[in-house]
Amino acid sequence: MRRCRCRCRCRSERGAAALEAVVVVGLVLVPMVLALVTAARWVEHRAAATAAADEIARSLVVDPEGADAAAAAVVLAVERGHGLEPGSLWVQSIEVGEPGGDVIVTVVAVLPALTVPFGSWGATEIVAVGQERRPDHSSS
Amino acid sequence: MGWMLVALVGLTQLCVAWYWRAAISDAAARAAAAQSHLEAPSDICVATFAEALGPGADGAAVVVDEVRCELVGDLVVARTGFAMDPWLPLWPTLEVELEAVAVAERIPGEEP
Repeated sequence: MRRCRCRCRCRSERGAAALEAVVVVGLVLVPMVLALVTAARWVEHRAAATAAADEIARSLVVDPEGADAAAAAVVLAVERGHGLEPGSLWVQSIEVGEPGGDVIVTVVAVLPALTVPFGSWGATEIVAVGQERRPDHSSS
Repeated sequence: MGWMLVALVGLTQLCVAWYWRAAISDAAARAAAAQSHLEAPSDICVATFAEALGPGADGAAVVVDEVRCELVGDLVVARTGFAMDPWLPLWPTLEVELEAVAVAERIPGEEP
């Protein structure tokens, strides 16, 4: 009888260990990997959108007439620099105030809502705003 | 449990790599911005990059490439990168190239 009890306990412990492994992988490790990969891409896209918005606003202050070409060049360069796919960033709006006022640029970054190691799912957007003050040479 | 440990070490290294990518990318952006001003000295790019990274950046953790700033059209482009040795055997060295841009300042109406 004693031998039987020991065998039964060993079997049940083996089952418990397998169950623990499944729980740890399913509830801890997999969500951790997904959160880490998704968060990293989110931060990367946010940094890229912010950089693009800031630089486009600055380009409008430096040369308001060449703003469209500069905006396209900045978006392309930022996408390349951050390793994003072309089309990940787009300029939503550009507001140019009077001299002495503000230039406000809104850039949207589009990224997958959930990224897994072998693909992605859904889409979400991050909005970044860049702002610069236009110089007012007439007041000086 | 062994493979879980491997996964955790790999994940931790990825976290550290992302941290370095963000820090070096930010330093490159500052370098490009510094070089973008009118009459900026030619060595301001490298000096700003080194200052932004701080003294502890280039060491055992990562090897940071030199930064190179050049004017491309209306933009000052700062190019750099870093390499990170793997924390696990048989993994490849992680090499990342980075590029940051800043709009070159200029007198309105004049070509850059």
